[in-house]
Amino acid sequence: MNKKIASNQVERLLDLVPYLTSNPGISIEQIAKDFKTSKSAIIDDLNTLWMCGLPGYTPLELIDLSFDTGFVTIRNAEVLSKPRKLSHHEAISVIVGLSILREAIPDSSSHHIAISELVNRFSESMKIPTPVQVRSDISPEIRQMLQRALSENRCVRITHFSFNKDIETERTISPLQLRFIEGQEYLEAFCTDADEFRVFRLDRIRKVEITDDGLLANQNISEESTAIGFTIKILKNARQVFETFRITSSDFDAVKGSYQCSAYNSDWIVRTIFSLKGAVHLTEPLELRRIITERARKALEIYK
Amino acid sequence: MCCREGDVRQKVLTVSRKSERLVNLVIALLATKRSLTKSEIFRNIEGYEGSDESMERMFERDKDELRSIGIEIEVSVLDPLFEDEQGYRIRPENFSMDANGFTPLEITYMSLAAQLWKDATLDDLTQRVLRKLSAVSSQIDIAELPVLAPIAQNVHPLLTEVIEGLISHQAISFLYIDSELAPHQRRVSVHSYFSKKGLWYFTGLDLDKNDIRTFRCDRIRGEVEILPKIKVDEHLEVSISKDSEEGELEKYFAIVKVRKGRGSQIRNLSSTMSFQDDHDLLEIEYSFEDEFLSLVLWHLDDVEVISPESLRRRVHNELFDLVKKHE
Repeated sequence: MNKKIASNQVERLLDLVPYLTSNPGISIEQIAKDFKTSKSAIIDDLNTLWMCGLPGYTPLELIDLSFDTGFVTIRNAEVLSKPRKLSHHEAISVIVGLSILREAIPDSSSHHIAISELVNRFSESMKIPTPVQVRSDISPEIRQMLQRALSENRCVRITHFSFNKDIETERTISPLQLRFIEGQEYLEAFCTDADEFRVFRLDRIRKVEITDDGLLANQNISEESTAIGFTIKILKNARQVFETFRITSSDFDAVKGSYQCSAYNSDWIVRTIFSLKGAVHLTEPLELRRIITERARKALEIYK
Repeated sequence: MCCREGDVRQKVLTVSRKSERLVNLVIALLATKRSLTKSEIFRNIEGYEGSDESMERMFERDKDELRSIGIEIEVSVLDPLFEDEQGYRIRPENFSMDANGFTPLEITYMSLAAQLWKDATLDDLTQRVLRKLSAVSSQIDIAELPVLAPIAQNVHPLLTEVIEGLISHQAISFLYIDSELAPHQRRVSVHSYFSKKGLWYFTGLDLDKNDIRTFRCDRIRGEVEILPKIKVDEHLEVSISKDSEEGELEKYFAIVKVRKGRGSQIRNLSSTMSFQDDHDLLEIEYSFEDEFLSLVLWHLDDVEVISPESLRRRVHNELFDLVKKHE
C-alpha cells in the first residue's frame, strides 16, 4: 500500500512540472481541483519538488518554485518541462474514444477523414489495436442534423418509429437537448403535433428535415412522465430478464419471491413479457395482467 | 502558506523522501548525454545513502518502481571487459510526448476522445490524459464537434484491462455470469474487441473450452486479472478462428402474415411479399428460431406465422402459456 502511495506521488510530481510550466501563476486551489486531490497534498508535492533538481543540488540546479502567495510559478525545470508520454491505459482511452468519435461523424465530414487517419497512425505507433467495429444504430447524418437544429434553435420534421406502438409517425418538433440515459441517447423536444414535451430515442428517428420555422417552445421540461411499477417472477433466463428490465438484486422481494420493476410505457411492458417466451410471469398490477391475457387470447384466436 | 512550514518540512522528510529521490533519479537519468554508472548515481544523486549493499537494494527497487509507472530505463554495457559495469539513462524521446507528431487539431480530437470515458472510475485517467494533452499544445475550438462529448456512449471500465491482455498477448481471467446469473471463472486469450449499440464485447480463445467465444464486458463480475504468460498453441488458435469465421449459419424460412402498417421490424427482414386487403404475406429468412419467435410474439396479434408448422405450434403454445399464467 505504501509503495502504491509513493508511486502515485512520483507520477503526480512528474506530471505537475509540465502542467505548472504551461500554466504560470495558477492557484493551488485550481491545481488541487485539476489533479483531483487536496490542497495539502499539492502543498506537500510542491515542498518535495522544491528539493529536486540536477545533481549538485545548489540553487543553480534545483527547481525554483514560488507558491507562498497561493499562486504557483516554476522556474529552472527544463528537464521535466515536457509532458510524459501517454501510458498504455491512457493511450487505450484515447484510441477507443477516437473510434467512437469517428463513428459518430458522417463519412463525408473532413473531421471523419482526419480522425481516421489519426487513430490509425496513433494505434500503429502505440501498438494498440483499434476496435474491430463500433456499431451504433444512430445514423451520423441524423445526429449531425439534430445538432445543427439544436445549435441554431430550429424546428425539425422527423419520422419517428414508435417501437412500443409499432408504427411510424411524422411530426414537427422543437429539439431542446440531447440526453444520455442508461446507455441510450435521447432527444428531448417539444412536439407541436401533440402539443407537449416528448422524448425520442435517437436510434428510432429515421428521417430528419430542418424546417424554416424557428423554435416554438423554449420552456424547460416541466414534468417527467411517471413510471409504471410492476412485479414479476423469474422462471428462467435470469440474466436476460435482469438486463431487459434493468433489475438489480436489491429489487428482490424475499417475501413474495419476486422482483419490483418499473418502466414508462405499458405497451413496452406487455410486449416484452410476450417476447420473453415464458421466462417471466407478471404478478402485479392486475390491470396489466388483464391486458396480457386479453392480448394473448386475441392472438390465440388466429391460431385456432 | 508558510505558517506551518516547520511541520510541513518534517512531513516532507518522512513521507516524501522516497518520492524526492525518485524524481531526482529521473531528472539525472534524463539530463545525462551518456549512460551513468551505478557508482556515479550513488555518488551524485541526492537520497542514496548507507552501505553499498543497502544503496544497491534501494536502486533496484527504484528502477522497478519507475518501470512500473511506464518509464523506460535503458541499460547498456559500458565496458565489454567488465560486464558488471552497466550504464543507465532515460532517453527523452522515450519519456516525453512528442508534440511535433500531432497538430493542434489532432490534440483537440484526442482530448474530446478522452472525455468520452464518462465512467466515474476512469475519471482520474481522463484527467491525466487531458492534463498531458493540454500541456503539449493549445487546442482549437471546433464548432461541430463539442456537442458529442457529453452524450456519447459510456465505455465499460474493464475494457482497458481486456485490451492490456490483448496487447501483451497474455490471457485474462475473470468471473462471468451465465444465462442464469451464476458466475463462472473464465480464462480467455483475447483476439479482438468491438462495440455494438453502445455495449462493449471482446472475442477470444476460451482456454478451458478450447473454442472461440464472445463476451460482453458488463457481464463480468469483479476484476479482470491478467495471467502470467502461458503458451497458447498458435496453430490451434489460428485454425479455430478460421473455423468460426467460415462456419456458415443454417438458414430457415418462414411465411408470416403481417397486418398493414404494422411490423416494420419484421418487414425489414423480409425478402419477398405479396399484398392482400388488410394483411401482407412475407417470406422471412432467419437463423435463430428462438430470436425470431421472440420477435413474432412482440407483435402480439399483428403477426401470424403460417409456416413452418413447428414454429406455428411454438407460437401457439407460448400464447396459451401466457393466458394460463396471467389469468
